[in-house]
Amino acid sequence: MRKKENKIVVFLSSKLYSLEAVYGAAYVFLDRAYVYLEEAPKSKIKVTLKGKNKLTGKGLEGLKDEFLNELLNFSLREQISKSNKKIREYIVARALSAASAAVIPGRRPMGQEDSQGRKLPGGVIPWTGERFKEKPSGKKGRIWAKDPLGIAVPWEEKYLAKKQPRKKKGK
Amino acid sequence: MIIGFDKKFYALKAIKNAAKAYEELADFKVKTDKNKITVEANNIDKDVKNVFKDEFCNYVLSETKRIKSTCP
Repeated sequence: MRKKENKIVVFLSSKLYSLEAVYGAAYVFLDRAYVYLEEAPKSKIKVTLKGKNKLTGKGLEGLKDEFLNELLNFSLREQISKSNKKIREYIVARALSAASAAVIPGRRPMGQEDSQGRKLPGGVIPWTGERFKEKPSGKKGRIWAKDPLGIAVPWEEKYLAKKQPRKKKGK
Repeated sequence: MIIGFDKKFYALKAIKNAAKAYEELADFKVKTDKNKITVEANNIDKDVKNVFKDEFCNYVLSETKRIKSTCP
């Protein structure tokens, strides 16, 4: 520690901490301290932290400890990022392919092919599993017009009609 | 003022970007050796002379991180 110069030096083993993690931790401290990196003997990294404001001995020690904590944080983050890389790429690829299938008109989602691998015209109604050949048009062709679950029927028509006769009996 | 940067930690492109960003505050000459990149800064603005080196180093570090970093 160089209290007069408002500096503290940290030596890090490059075997334990990657350069990526050092950059990440240093970046977090750029607004509070001046950070300078140098190579030190025995494959070590010399990190000099100089406070932007005047710091006491304890303040400098605290700066060093916080830097080391941040370094650990970034090391872990890097490790998780590496271990999740494949699944992350897979999820993004799946999302992009699904999005492109939805956007291109006439193109259906994956799996809409016949046994010989030819693309089938039309698509599938998700709630019935029925296949329609072409783009539905007209009143007959409207998918929602079939209403197999009775969603479009108003509540009054569905339930109130049954209740009303009971009231009449009571009178 | 001469500032040395270790090639292992600092990218040449980052130093050039920093020199371009600071060109109104000083005149720069950038030299590369085997292990080091040396920046010579002359005619430094008087108002920022006391913090110039440290601020310049921080800027170079942030640029290096931006260029080299791959971690999300």
